[in-house]
Amino acid sequence: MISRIGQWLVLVLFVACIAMAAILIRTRQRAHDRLEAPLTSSVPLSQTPDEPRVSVTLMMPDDKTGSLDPISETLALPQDESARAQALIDQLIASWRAPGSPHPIKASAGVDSVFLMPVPGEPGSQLAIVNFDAAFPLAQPSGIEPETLTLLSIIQTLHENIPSITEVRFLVNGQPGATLAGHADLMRTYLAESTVPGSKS
Amino acid sequence: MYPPAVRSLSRKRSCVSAFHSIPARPRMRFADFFRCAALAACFFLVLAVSAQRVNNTHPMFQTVSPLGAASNFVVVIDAAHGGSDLGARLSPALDEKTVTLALARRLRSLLAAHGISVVMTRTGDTALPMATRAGIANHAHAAACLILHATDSGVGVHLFTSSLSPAPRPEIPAWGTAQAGYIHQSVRLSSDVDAAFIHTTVPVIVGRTFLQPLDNLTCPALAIELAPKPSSTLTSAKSVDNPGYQSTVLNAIVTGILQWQQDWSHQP
Repeated sequence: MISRIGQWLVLVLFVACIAMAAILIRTRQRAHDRLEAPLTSSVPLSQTPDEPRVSVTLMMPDDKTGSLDPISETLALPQDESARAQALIDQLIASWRAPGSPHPIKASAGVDSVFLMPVPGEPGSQLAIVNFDAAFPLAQPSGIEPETLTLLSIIQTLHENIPSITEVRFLVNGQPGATLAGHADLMRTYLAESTVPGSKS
Repeated sequence: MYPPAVRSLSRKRSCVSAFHSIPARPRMRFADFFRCAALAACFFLVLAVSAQRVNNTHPMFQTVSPLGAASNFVVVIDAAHGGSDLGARLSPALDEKTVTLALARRLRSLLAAHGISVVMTRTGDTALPMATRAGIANHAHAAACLILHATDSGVGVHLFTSSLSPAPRPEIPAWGTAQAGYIHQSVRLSSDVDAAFIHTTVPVIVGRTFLQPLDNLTCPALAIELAPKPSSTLTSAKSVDNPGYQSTVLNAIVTGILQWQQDWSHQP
C-alpha cells in the first residue's frame, strides 16, 4: 500500500516533468526562431532604397598587373555590419562579372553569407567568416595569381570599409575547403594587416 | 574375412604402427630446416628485387647528378598537380598538370646541363599528396625548391614566395610554418629569378601567397606560375603550351638559378 505522502510526491514529480517538457519545447522553438530570423528578412541583406547612401572603396584586382586598385563607389548599405559586409562583397563580385573586368569571373556565383564574430583577446577586432556558395570555386579562374587576388581583394575591401574586421576566414558551401580553386590555401585565417598584393616588374 | 568396419580399423592400426615403426623425427627436422632456408632465400630475393625497383621508380631517388656538379647544391622541382588532380583547365584538351610536368622535365635537363643536381617530386602523371611533396623536398636538403604551376589568367610569369612572416629557424620547425625560417632566402631567390627576366620581353609579377606545399618547405622556395604570353595572337592555352615561349621562360629561370648558386655559396 502506497502512503498518502508517496502518492502526492509521485503526482508532484509528474507535474514537474510535464512543466519541464513544456519549457524545453518552448525554449527550443524560440532558439529556432532566433536562428532563422536573419533569413526571414528581419535584416536586409541587400541594399535598399531607404538606407543612406555612403561612399565605399572597393579594392579591384587586376590580373595583368597583379595589383589591387581602389575604386570609389556610392552604395546604400544596411546598418547591420554583417549585412554591410555581405553587401560590399556582393558589389565587388558584381564588378568582377561586368564586361571588360580586369579580374573576370563567371556569372551566377557569389557569397552565401558573411558572419562577424569578436576576435578572442583583441577587443574591438572582428573575424569575418565569408561563406562562398558551391558554384564560386568553379566560376573562379584557377591559378595562384587569380585566386590570391580574389582573396586579397575581399580581405582588403572589408578591412578598408569596416576597419574593425582584422581577420578573415573562408568557407565553401558552409564547409572548410583545402583550396579556393586548386591553389590558394583556405585552411588558414587571413590577417588583413599582413596581406599585401604583388608588384610588377 | 572381416566385416567392413573391422577392416577399416585394422587398416588404421597398421598405418599407426607403420608410422611408429619408422624413425621419422630426425628426417622431419632436416626437412623443416631445408624449407626454412629456402623460404629465407626467397624472402631475401624478393626484398632485394623490391629495393632495386624502389630505387628505380621512387621520385625521391630520381636525382640527376651530373659529373662535376657542386655536390651540395641541389634543386628540387615540384611539378604541381598530377593524376586525378588536373589543376587548371587551360583548354578542353590541355590540363595544368600536363604543362607543369613538361616544364619540369625541360627545366631538369637544362639545370643538369649546367652541372646542377636536380630532385623531382614526380616524373610521371601521378597524384602526390602535398605532405609527400614537402617531405621529398625537405629530405633533399635543397638549395632551392621550385614549384611549377600554369594558368590561363594574367600574362607573363608570376613569382610567389610564402606570405608567412620571417622567423628564426627552430631546431624542429612546425609543419604549417616551416617556410618561415627561410623567407629572407626565398625572397632573395625570387629576386635573382626576377632579375634574369630583364633581358626578355616576358613581364614578371612578384607576390606573396599562402600555398601548399610552399609553406611546409625547409629550403629557399619559390612558386613559379607560367601565364599566357603578352599580346600573343595565340589563344591563352596555346600560348602557355608554346615551346618557344616556354624555352624563353625556362632559360631565364636557369639564369636566375645560376645567379642564386653564386649567392648561396657566399652565404654562411
